[in-house]
Amino acid sequence: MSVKFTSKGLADGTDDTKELEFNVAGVTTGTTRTITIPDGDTKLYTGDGTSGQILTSNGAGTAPTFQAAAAAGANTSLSNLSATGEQRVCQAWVNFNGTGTVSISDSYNVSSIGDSAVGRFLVNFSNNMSNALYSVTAANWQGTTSSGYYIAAAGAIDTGSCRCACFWTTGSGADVDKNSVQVFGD
Amino acid sequence: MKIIYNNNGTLAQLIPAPNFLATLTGTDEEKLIHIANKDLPTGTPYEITDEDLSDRTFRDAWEYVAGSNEKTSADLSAEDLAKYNMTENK
Repeated sequence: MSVKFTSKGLADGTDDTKELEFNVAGVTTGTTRTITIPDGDTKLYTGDGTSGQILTSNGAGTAPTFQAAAAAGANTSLSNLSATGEQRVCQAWVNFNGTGTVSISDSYNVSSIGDSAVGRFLVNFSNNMSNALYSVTAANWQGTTSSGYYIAAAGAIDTGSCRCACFWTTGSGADVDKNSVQVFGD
Repeated sequence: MKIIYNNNGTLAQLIPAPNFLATLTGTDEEKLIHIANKDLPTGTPYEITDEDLSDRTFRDAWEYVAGSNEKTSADLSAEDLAKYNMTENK
């Protein structure tokens, strides 16, 4: 492979009709712009794409191309997920203290929790689930003063909320300080 | 502040998620009204209070008694339904 200089820039060493032109018309007068080549083989992408597209790798030895971004709402930082792959990520979660002044420590997609009795709570979603066939798991623990074993229970109620509870193994409700609930589904 | 409401004759409380509150605009009371309308079944009597409910010794015996500041949860507007991705009110 060889190149030769032409009045425009570079041309293929054996076929003058294959040319590479450097266009510096947009550079401000008296200014030098620099193209820095990395210490490795590289390829340039083609075209400008369209608004909203993202530059995507096509693997080693192939130039990257612009492609449509994942559907709105998808987390494009999770590169293995397609738009429908959101089923695989947690749709809502909450960590709350069910003792004393009940309080939410942290949460995602949860607007509030309802406290209806000892050890019984309702988790309300900020944005509803698509249907009530989602999966809910819950876990409970009482800090450093745990004096027994607890059973966590949870289940879907409707698209807007799920229920979770904490019981002693005797069956009576228990307020504990570490409650966590996770929701997966559509 | 929190929301207390009548849950089949007993008192229940609704604790707002700080992360969700941060997404709302308005005064603290306006934000809680917003949450009451969103998370309580429409027509549920409730009150916004900063009463201390930390003593849960007799939690299951708590009773809701209507106070002078009682409100009733309303339907969310069409705009709010769209905002919260809800197809209908509770």
